[in-house]
Amino acid sequence: MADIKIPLKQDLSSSTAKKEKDLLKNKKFKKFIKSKKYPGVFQWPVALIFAFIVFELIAGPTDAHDNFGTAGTWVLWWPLLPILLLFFGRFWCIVCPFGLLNDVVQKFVGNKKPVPKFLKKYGIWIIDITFLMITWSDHVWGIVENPRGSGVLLLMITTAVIFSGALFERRTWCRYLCFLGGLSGNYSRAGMVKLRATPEICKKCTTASCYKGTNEVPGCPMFEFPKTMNSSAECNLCGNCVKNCPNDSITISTRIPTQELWNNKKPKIEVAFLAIVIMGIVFVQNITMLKVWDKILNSLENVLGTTNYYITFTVTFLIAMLIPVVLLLLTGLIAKKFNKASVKENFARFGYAVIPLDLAGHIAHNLFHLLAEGKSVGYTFMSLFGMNSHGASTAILPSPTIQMLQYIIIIIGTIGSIYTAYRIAKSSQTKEKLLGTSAVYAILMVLLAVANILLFSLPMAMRM
Amino acid sequence: MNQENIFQYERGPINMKFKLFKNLVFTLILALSFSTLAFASTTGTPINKTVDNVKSSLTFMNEKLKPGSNEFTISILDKDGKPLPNSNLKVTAAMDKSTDMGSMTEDKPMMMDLKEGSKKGEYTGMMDFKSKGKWILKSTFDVQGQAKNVDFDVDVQSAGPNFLIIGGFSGVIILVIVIAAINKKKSIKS
Repeated sequence: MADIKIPLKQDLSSSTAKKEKDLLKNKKFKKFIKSKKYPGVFQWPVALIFAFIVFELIAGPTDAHDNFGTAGTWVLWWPLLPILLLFFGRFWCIVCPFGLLNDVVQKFVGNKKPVPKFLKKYGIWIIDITFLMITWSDHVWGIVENPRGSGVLLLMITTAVIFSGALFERRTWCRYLCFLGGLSGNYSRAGMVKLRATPEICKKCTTASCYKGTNEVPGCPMFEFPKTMNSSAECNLCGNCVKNCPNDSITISTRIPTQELWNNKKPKIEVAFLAIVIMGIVFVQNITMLKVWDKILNSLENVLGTTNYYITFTVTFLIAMLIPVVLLLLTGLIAKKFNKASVKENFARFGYAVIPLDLAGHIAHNLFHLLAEGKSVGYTFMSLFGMNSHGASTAILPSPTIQMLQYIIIIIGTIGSIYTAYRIAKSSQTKEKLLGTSAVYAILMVLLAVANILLFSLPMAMRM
Repeated sequence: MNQENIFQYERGPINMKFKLFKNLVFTLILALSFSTLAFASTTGTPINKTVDNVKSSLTFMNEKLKPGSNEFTISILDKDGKPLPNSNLKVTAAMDKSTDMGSMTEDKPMMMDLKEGSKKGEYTGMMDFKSKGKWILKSTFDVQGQAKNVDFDVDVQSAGPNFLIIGGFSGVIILVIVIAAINKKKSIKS
């Protein structure tokens, strides 16, 4: 899809740039990143745990509350993922067992064909649609609450990854097809870690070995050229560019969360769409886990005149997805009066401002599962050795404390989103118009936050 | 015949074989993907009960009951094997509390939707067993205006791995790897 190209003011204050500390200046850290052990030292243990989890899901107990695979996946890993993305960017993607599987298959039987043009052009849309389809399937057929369903999903992904690794070059799957990669990319834009090249050094470079690779180490698996890379969305911190660069141009530094979102020179509609749709997904996840969901469903059945869950849930799903999208479009329409940009431009640019709230909503929702059901990971693990813990509480923290933490996270995310919208507006606005544009997006963020807080205030069902 | 034509001539049968091989592989992939559908229908042993000259019979589609959706047929007949008029049959299911080890199952009995079966006096429905263990299916019906009920005890076993699904995926994966390896070898040679 077309990139929205609008002139933007440079908004990076020099003080911010000066504060960035290159972590690679630490000799031990640099030695570790450059060593052959990295990233294998993380990848292989995770791959072993993953293999066991898949085995448990497809061959272990059929009841979710007895299955270590379900607990490990949906109570531990899924809630931890957005937190990891916030603190370490897409580091998870280099640890991810699917990525490792892609690399191994490619090494032995890879045909290394170039990525088809349609994937480059529509990859994010494919990710958007896949993400929506998986969320829909989860509610209709049961993936999270059914170990076999989760197992089949993982087997499907495994097959697709093997296909991609066997046919295409580098990590085509991770970059253009992985729905989690799309989510991770979006969240990593708001993340605290960035890897960049030093422009002054790179302009003299003629080897481009960071992209092409060397005899010892392959080039960037994510098709990124660090010399021109200005986003952390696609960098999985694999360290290949650090190993390959003959000029020590690469830096890894920490940054203020959301900072990357403030200066997006080429906002993309599909990224903005994913950002706002994730908000809808968080709403659906919350609504269907509420104890009032059955009452809502009954009312919907009366209105639609059918008890068919496929129909009633699909209607709920479409409404939940459309509400945030329509709200963002409407806000863009109002903002148009202040900034004179088209609704499409506003949608693409300010859609990125929803990412901090998305991240907060995702963390807050899953915090409930992590803290209210966290002990189930230990219990199900113990049950592998015949130790039974039936009836024991799975809660790590009491519900009121978890609820309070959820509210705090949503408030932080809302502040992040409002500030991001302000910075996006500031990067292309005159002062007279800045206030109006910022105010309408601030109202949108507050509305989305209130909806989240209301949903978190109601009693929620557990996964296990 | 120039050199290019000779080359094409020599490659002709190889290309045909390769196409044939590709078609075969594609068919196999499809066949393996849908192989899980092949062994769908077997019928379980009926559980028969007689109460006050009313013969009641419950049959599940599968011999072994596993957590998840299970299709069943229930019939209510009089002593002569004829359907009861206005029987107003209702079927509910609940887990046998004496065997429920504190798991998160439904506390309320689940009412099942029934459809008329192929024969008179026969009804079909779907039972969604939430977990393994002993379940009690209660059938209530009217005989000449009097309410009667028959309980059926059923044992839901823990489902093992679905080898058809695992086999299907493994087959597709192996085929993908084999084709990729052959293609890689060919490209290295050429």
